[in-house]
Amino acid sequence: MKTLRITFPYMGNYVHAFRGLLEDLGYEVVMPVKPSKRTLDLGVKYAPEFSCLPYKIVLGTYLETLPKGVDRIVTSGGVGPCRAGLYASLHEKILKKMGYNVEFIVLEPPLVDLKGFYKTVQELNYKNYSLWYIYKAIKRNWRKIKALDTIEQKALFLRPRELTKGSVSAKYKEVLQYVINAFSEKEIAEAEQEALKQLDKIPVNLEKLVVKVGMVGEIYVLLEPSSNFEIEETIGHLGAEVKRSMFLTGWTRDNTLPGKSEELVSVKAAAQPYLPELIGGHGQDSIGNAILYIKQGFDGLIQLAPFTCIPEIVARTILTKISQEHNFPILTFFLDEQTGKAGMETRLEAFIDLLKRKKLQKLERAKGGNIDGALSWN
Amino acid sequence: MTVPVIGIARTLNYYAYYPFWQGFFDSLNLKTIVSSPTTKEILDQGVKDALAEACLPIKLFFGHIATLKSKVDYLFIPRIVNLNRKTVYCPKFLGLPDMIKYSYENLPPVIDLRVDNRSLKDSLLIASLKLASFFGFSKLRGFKAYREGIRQQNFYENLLQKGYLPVNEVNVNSPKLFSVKSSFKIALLGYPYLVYDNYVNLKILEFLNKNNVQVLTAEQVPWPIRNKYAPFTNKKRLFWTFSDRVLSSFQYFLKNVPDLKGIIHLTAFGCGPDFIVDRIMEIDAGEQQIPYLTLTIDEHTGEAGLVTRVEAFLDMIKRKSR
Repeated sequence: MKTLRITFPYMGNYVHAFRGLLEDLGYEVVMPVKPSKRTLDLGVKYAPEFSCLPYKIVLGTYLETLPKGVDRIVTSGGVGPCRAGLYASLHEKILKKMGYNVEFIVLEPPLVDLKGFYKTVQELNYKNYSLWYIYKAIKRNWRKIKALDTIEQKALFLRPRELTKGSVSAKYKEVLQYVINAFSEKEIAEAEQEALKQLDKIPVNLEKLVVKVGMVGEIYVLLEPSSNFEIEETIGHLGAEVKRSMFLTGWTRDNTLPGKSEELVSVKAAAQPYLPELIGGHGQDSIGNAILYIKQGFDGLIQLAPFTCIPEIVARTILTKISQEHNFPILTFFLDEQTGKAGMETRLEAFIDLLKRKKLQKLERAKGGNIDGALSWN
Repeated sequence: MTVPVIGIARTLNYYAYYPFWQGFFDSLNLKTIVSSPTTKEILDQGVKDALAEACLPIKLFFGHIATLKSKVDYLFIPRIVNLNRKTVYCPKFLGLPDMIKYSYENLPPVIDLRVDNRSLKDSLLIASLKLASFFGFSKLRGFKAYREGIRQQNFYENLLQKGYLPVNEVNVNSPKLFSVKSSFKIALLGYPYLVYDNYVNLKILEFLNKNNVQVLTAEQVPWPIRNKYAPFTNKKRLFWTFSDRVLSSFQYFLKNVPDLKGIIHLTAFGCGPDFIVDRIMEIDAGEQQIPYLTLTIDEHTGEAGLVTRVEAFLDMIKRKSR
């Protein structure tokens, strides 16, 4: 049987786990390239004007990969009310119109339609591997995703505390390869340990006073650094620690397995007084996580959303009130193809400065006025 | 005892469901005020009060609420999630009561009853009974009011199917404007709060009607037919009720109106779902070689510019068919 060539949208480091899984299923994977200016330009050219940034980036990614010869595209679906659930259908329509004859395989959440999900998996499994084999492949690559998340979280913690600017990012890039190249679960676990060990060797100042910033918003712009101009790295270099509300491990678990995690239950509960309705996308999560971050004593919040993203607009309207009520600074970025990295950095710098000043004032007040010289940002 | 006054915004769900509310509240002898038809002032106020990134219709809604809030005892902003058990309303509709509550100070109480027929089949009836008992009426009175609302709503939907164009005002007792009958048929597709609001649509509905163009609207196709024509690529249908209504009636018109001359899609700046609706229709109409025009309305659109484009569109069709 002919080996099919398959591709998928680019999403952060996770692409390496997707690749592993699809290779296990007997595909030849055409790796999507990391989205660049060219990717976005292509997307903007062929996508409808008012589609959101993720839509344009993903379309641009397809247009970059398809000329390399692709038989199938595998992507995620959804049942809304977020628009992303329909993106695959519209991408398919636009690509057909442009003359690309590529087969779309859309994975819908199994919780909604288990039978349909099974059918899609069987379609994807064109070489008829046993379910046990598939289960093992998923388990192995799931482990990889978990390792990628753990290392990333470590980097987010270390970055604001590094002694030499850029040392964490450089090392992080290097140790990621350990995990990416690992195959078996055992190898992945070892690679993860080694990566963490290497990261721990970076000289850091753990005593340093660091402001903590929560980050909420729409999943794609949160998870794909090139769509948010590496905002986490920028914030880290400004001396603030970022805690992102979403990692793929958490999201997938909550959307594919029965029973919700404790984490998710409390997010929904926290959002309840402000937004009792599930409005699709991650609008309610943004509100709930904002409240949780306030309770956990975070210093500020950043919301990331693509321009015209409906749920995040609703969330933003309500976040304004939450910000006033709790005296909690919130900065929102609505991202589109016009957003520039420099402008974003300036706004972030001002925002982080404000958070730092606020935190110092609070500490001074707590100490009864005078603050000793040991307390410093540097 | 004075009768409480309930305020209803003349936009969004107004053009779709007002007869139900009117029948319901009238039956209970409750007084309702509907905000005045959209004006520049209302829109400007909404632009000021709503989030800059919000779409035009949400800004309009904010503007209408701003003019209402000091005049009424209650604001009626029901959270209508789902009625037909197939599709939900736009996420912004679902968050409407919350957005309003957290954006304005000194608001009268907001009635934000939730209606979701997916989880509860008769949730509209239950919400109606709750609402009636909130104002001190028995279950029986509430039920009668609900029946009256349904009767009015059915009557209204029948009128719409016959070509009633509720421009600026939904009036089931003395419907004013009907779509003319002619062989020159244009489908004017868009959400009811855009198509029937004379300020927002820049009077093109009246313009077409005056020029002896038979206007086909999404509301003229009854639900059972629309339901059949709803799925598009991948057998999926659009998630949102009004978008689904536009696309399904479009697919119906395309297959069943042989002398369809053209399609005008009226859309609002910043509308989330519409880019999907618009692109699907553009591709499909193109394949059938039916002229297709998208009109995007924003805060600054001028009437003259829009009418010129519509005129040019009509001229092009006439030239083509000669």
